[in-house]
Amino acid sequence: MRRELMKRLGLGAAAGVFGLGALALAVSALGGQPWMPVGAWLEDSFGFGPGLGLEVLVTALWGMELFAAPLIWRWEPLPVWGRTALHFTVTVLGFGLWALPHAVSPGWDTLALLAGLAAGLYLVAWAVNWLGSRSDVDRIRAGLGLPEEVRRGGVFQVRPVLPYLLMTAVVLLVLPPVLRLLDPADVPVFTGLLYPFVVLPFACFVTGRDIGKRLGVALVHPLACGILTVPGILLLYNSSAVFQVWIAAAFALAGNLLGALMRKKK
Amino acid sequence: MEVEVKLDPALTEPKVVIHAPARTAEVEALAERLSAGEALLPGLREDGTAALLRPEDILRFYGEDKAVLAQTMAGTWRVDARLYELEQRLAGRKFVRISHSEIVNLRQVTGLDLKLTGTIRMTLAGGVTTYVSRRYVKKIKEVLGL
Repeated sequence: MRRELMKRLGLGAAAGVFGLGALALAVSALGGQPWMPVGAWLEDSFGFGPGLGLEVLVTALWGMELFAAPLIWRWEPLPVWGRTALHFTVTVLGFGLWALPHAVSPGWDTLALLAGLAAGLYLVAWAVNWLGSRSDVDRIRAGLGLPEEVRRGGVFQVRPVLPYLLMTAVVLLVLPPVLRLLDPADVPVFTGLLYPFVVLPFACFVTGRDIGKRLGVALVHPLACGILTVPGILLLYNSSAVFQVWIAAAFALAGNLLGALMRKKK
Repeated sequence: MEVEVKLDPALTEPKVVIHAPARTAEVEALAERLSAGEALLPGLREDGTAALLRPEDILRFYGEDKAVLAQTMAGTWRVDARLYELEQRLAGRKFVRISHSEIVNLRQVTGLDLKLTGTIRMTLAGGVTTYVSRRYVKKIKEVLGL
């Protein structure tokens, strides 16, 4: 284990530095002029040379963290929730500390925002991973000739839907503020058009369909989709955006019913 | 089933080749029966009782206090082999490693479920429960041909 840890740390550091160099080359090629990947805050605070050195150092550290963190899952004496908590902390802090020097105004609030973003992405990755595990377990059950898992709670089942709800919650709660940051000053293309008319219906429909295919009709998801749009509407929009509630709920329900139909036909 | 015996003085021990149109459950069972004679495992209980264990009766092998134990419905026996050796020896017999310290008999699995925490719980005959490490899920799928 120790040997593998050292190997991963070395590979991670190399990958970090290599990635940074590749990014500099790619941006230079696209921009047509040389580009040095030094965070503005690092350059302003330490000067170009030391700033570049620190940039290489933090990127190498992040690479080391990314490569070594998966070993946490092999630490079997620690229970799964303990491993998840440790992996979560290491990943979120690793990303936060790497991204902090690149922020326009580094500080605790920026670190909190970056850590929040990383946490959101982590939760989505966790939910995707969990759903992948469930798919594996279902296949193994079938391979062993075991009966299909019994659904509890009928159309109002909550427990099996939780990972999907988590994923939907991250998309519906985290994505709008992030898109607002990316919006051009004149026309809010991302939050005004892309999110409510493309991303929101698509995300709700796809998760609803997957739930339907796997679990049949589950009305908790469309309900949750409608409710989860409310914080975004209150914080970023106004009453004219209430239609998002109906879009989210309707597309989630349509996806769920379609998925349930596919499940029935199968 | 047609049985044919061919004598070959060049062989040092009997060799059986099964000719079949497809790899059916019947063929698998026949192959298992034919090779079972060599696979009996000597086991020793804490009270000193010794027995030859048939692989199909074993629920699981697991490591405990630097020893390898075989659990059957009748009890637990100490076996004189390492887990990796058993893994090799029982390859092709639906035995698969499910964690760093455990090998289970897939024929004895009666339940498998994923908990919300991500833990995969496996239930064996007699209500014996154990946990599958996610690292070994791929291996189980391979053994089952998935």
